[in-house]
Amino acid sequence: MEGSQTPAPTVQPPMAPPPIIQTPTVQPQEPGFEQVTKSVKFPISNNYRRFNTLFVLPKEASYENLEKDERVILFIYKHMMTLIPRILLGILFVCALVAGLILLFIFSPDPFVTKTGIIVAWLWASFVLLYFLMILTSYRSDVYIVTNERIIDFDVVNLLYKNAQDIDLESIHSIQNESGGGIVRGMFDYGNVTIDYTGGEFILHNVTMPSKIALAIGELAEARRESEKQQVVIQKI
Amino acid sequence: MNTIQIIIRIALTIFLGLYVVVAITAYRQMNKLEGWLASLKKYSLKKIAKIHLIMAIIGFLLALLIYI
Repeated sequence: MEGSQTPAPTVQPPMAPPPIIQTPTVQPQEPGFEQVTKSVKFPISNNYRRFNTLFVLPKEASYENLEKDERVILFIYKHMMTLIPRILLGILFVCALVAGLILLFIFSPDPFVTKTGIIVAWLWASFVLLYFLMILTSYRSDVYIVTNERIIDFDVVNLLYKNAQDIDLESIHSIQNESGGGIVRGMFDYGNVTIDYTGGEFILHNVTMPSKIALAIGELAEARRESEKQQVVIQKI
Repeated sequence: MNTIQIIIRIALTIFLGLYVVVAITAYRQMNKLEGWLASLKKYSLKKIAKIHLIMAIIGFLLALLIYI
């Protein structure tokens, strides 16, 4: 008589541990402030000021080459004070135009010179307008865009030359910031943020609140690295 | 009207004509720029470019009709 065969216990493969997905801790929002990272928040009222230099989580501001899941977190212009020397030069051009016209009408020797003067003044006025258009365009298109994936430096020089450079947040090694270094810089709190990354050095020139921006970029880079690690773990599982 | 005056008139008119081309280029570039960077739309830079273009055209027409 054959012994009753007990079925061999089936060995269950060990269950893979469920992937640990860290849900972001919900922090109580302070009214009037936008929490950008764990420890950095900016006043949101600035987003509605016309000549603001730092937009936080903007809805209007965007860039043509954003990826599908990419979100703009900071939209940073250079500080307005960097525009002052160029505006002063523009005012000098206007003064030259006015002075030229006054001299022309006081000492107009003959009709030919007067007519030529008026045509040249008209041309000069057009040029001054073009100059202001160029400096405003250069200023407003020289922008640093910090997204949840990368930092983009977009720049247009003299209306014709477009330049865009971007670095991935996970390639950032270290960040330094410097503010002050002069009465004007110290008074208006703007300076440079230098980012060391795998490919070299990336400088955000003359940005407002450089220490806060550096901290925010550091924390965003850290969050990005964490999410990349989690994705690798999930893929391995 | 002597020869030098004629040369100056023609040269200035040609220069104004070339400036119209510059103004058209600036206006077209502003259109493109607003496509690249949406934040530029609210600063009315395209309007300034349009005013500049109109000024350049008026200057050229003035030179053609009155000056030359």
